[in-house]
Amino acid sequence: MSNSPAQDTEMRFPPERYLEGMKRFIAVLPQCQALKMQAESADHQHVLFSVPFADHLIGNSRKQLIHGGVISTLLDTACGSVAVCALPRFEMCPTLDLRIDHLRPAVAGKTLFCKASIVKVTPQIIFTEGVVYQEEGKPVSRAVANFMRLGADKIPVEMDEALFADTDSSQKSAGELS
Amino acid sequence: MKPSDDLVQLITETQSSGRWETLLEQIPYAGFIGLTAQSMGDEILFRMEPLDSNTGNPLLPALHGGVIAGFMETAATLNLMMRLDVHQVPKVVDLTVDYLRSGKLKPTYATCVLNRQGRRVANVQVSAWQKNRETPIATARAHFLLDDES
Repeated sequence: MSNSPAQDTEMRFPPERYLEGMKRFIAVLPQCQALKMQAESADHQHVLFSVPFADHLIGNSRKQLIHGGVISTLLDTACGSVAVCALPRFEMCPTLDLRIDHLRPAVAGKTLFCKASIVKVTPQIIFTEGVVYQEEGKPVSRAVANFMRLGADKIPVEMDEALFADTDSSQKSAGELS
Repeated sequence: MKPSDDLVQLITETQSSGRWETLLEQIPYAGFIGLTAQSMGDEILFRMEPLDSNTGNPLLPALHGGVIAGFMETAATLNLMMRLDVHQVPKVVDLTVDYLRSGKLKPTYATCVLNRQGRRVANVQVSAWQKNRETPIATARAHFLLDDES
């Protein structure tokens, strides 16, 4: 098992269902709720998340800059979420390490976006990268984040089903039943 | 008075009084994650309160890794400002965090070591722990630009 080659990521659902799953996922993470983080788009290899500006996110009052911690949290969440999307079934994936380059200041008053992508999925580790921007094409920060896979057997399959539940079809079947 | 003079005065006051409130008010994010600081001789001990909003994984529960990174970056920045004669807030260039243990929802502490201080760039190492210093939940290192505007 440990010698098996790196697994390719497989698209399990249409993108809308990944997005619904990611909305549910970050809705239960208190720090993401405190930041009013939103899932904008998702599939099995990418996610796009955002954090709207708020005064308490300021790190430098004089220069009116957003704190690097907000960027760290957005990157860690987006990279961790894309890791979950890339797996054949939900697993807990704690962050091993997070390496961030701050390329330009994040200014107050503007939304932060983070696009996170899968680099490689192996049986033990998921390699990801992310970029944060306020205006497309002008990266604020870029990062590399690696995650441990704790194993699908540690998590009841119901959790995966609940996370990526197909609301459309469940509503449809509920409608058909009534 | 130039803003930088204002800042220098604020740091000097914090250094002499050991009271951090006014300086921390300049960093709203520090309040958002419940960060406080205490000068203990030559060392500065940073503390982050176990606010419910700092939770990343509600099942364990565990602190959000991004909040731990934000805490350590803030500690490194403040540590530099207090240690060096900086005339502006040092600008973080890069940050690397290694997560060693899951952070429980309890008070988290951090201390910093100034690995190298150059004329333009400084390298700071941060250790964050909960139970004791020997079992850190995360270690980090960061580079800072000290005098970006000159």
